[in-house]
Amino acid sequence: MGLELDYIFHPRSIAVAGASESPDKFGHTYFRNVLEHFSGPVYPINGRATEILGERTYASVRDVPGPVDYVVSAVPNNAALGLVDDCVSKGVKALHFFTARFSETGSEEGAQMERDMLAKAKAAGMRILGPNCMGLYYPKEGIAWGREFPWEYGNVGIISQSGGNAGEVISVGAVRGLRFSKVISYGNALDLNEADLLEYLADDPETQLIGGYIEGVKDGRRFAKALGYASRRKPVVLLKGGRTQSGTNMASSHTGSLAGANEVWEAMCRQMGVVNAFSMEDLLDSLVAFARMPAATGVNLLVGGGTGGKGVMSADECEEAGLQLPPIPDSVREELVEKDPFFGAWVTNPVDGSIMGGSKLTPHDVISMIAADPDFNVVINGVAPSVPSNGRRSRRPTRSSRMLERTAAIASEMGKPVALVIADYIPDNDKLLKASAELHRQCVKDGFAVFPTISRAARAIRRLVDYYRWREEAA
Amino acid sequence: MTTAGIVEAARRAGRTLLSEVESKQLLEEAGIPVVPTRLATSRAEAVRIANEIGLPAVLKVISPDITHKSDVGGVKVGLETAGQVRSAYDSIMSSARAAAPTASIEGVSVQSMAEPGVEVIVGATCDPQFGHVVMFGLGGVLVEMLRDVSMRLVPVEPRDARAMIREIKGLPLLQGYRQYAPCDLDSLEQVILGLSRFLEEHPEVRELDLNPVLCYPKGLVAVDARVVLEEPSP
Repeated sequence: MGLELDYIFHPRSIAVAGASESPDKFGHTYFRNVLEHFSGPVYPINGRATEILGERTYASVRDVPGPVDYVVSAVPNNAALGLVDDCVSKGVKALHFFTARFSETGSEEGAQMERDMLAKAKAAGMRILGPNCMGLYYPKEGIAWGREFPWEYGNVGIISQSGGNAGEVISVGAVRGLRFSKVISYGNALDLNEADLLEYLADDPETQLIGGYIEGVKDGRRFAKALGYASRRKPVVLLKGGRTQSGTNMASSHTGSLAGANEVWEAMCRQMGVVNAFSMEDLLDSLVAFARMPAATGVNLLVGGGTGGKGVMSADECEEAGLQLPPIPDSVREELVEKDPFFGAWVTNPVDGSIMGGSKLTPHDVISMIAADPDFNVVINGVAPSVPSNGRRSRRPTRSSRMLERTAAIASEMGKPVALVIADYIPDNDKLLKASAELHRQCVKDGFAVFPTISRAARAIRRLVDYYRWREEAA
Repeated sequence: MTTAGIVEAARRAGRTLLSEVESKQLLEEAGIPVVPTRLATSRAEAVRIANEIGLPAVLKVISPDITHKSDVGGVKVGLETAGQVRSAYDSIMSSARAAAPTASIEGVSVQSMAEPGVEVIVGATCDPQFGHVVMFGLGGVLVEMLRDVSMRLVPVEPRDARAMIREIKGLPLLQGYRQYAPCDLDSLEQVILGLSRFLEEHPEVRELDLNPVLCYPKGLVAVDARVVLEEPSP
């Protein structure tokens, strides 16, 4: 469907127009990233400096000796049209404008400049990404705009109207174990728009999961169709910005007055099997769940690792998120009682590990015995679900947590989707801070989907279940 | 008159709002069951039509300028005799004229009185970004207050229609609740799908309400209908 855009992601060479010597400028960072990581030739375009990071500069794209496939523009907006001309005469295939202050300012002048840029590019068959965007992050090819983005690549593809939000998904997602195939920040969508990019990612074999941040859509019908196509192949999670700006259609019917822009967006997501995330956290949680948990279509949940009131609350939160906590099945109960008549009869779902002092049963036994039952579809295990409350745990927060993680690993090895919960409070004690970070890093490194609260884990699991059920029915 | 004829007549008259009688004709052609409804422009005609379609009858004012008919005393229901139809006609005319003196009044619609059933709304609107959207919900006067509705983009597929009906909170009312018998949900799905097909064929329709549609254990019927056309392109 959309793979004809593939060439944009595989340029033979890259030029950075407005490449800069000052390290805090985009024109520097981008050039440095591709210089260090992109395998083909990279050219700094700068009329004043003679060299940047040891590379010889060219005054114009036209002066570059070899072919140039991809140009990144960090020039001021008044130089944009001239750059389009240069790129067209050089035979450039795609031009990304980091350059901003066009139609987004609301000025007619800016909008006119965009129209002129587009007309020139269209006539020459050159594609434009942006303007007003961060462009491509394609770690596999050594292309990135952020210095801190991981070069290790994965299979999550992202489209984002906002460069800042794309950066947040990459950076925060990376800490939670997400790795990306391609991230495209597309800004004003003058030429390449959300539907083009979605169609591309839907067919891109390097992308197994699609996320997006969208404010407005250029061609709604085409976009909706592309979503339906994409989510039959891979999960799609979208965060819509500007939800509360109500559509100002002058309705003269009940239906018209009830079908505001947000209601229609929601309906479209349901219809097309799209996860409609309502916040950045929700978007990231959902991506983590889809990327790091196997498909689940059942809502029967086993919860472990909580204690006392935490366990009671977790049951409430999971049921509110649309999951069920079934009682321990009779057959499992018999096994438990056989091992320990007292504790075996007492223990429930959620499993309260704190009651089991002096028992022959460990939380590990209980969780692994229950999780083995085919009626349980998903497992949430708290690893450090609450703030350390006693001295022993405060000094060594990771030891018991590591045991809880190993318990979760058992369920994971059974092929069950497992979510871990590690509270994201920030200790003011350096040792504890380091230990918490280390625990989180280890759990992520071991491949787990980690969430800061039970309720966020539960919501993400419910989204997973809803999607796979939709897809089963849609097939 | 055919759909094209009705649309053309409205265009010629410079109207985007179709009358109840026109709207129902359009929907009938789309295969959606509607209460038999005809326009009467005189007291005598109202009585004749009422006798033809069968008493008891309902009379409603027909005016492009009156949106909420019952607010102007423009609706009379349960008319059992020719005499009641006659006086209802007069009463509607005088109270509508009093409440909306500048409104142009074409006459009244005369329709048979539908059996009571569960009231739902099926409607459509045109979203500026995504095009035609079909809506379903519990109908009657509470629909805008409760907002218990579901929507899908056109084209609506059978699975979407099924999901739309099952998504609303009021579903138990449709499945049989206290004095209400279970409704014919298959027919309801067919109405949603029929409406979706109708909209695919008629891009000139901007908004549409079937409110209420009365649902029965077997079948259903649209009691009121309202179609708004797009502004003609200049």
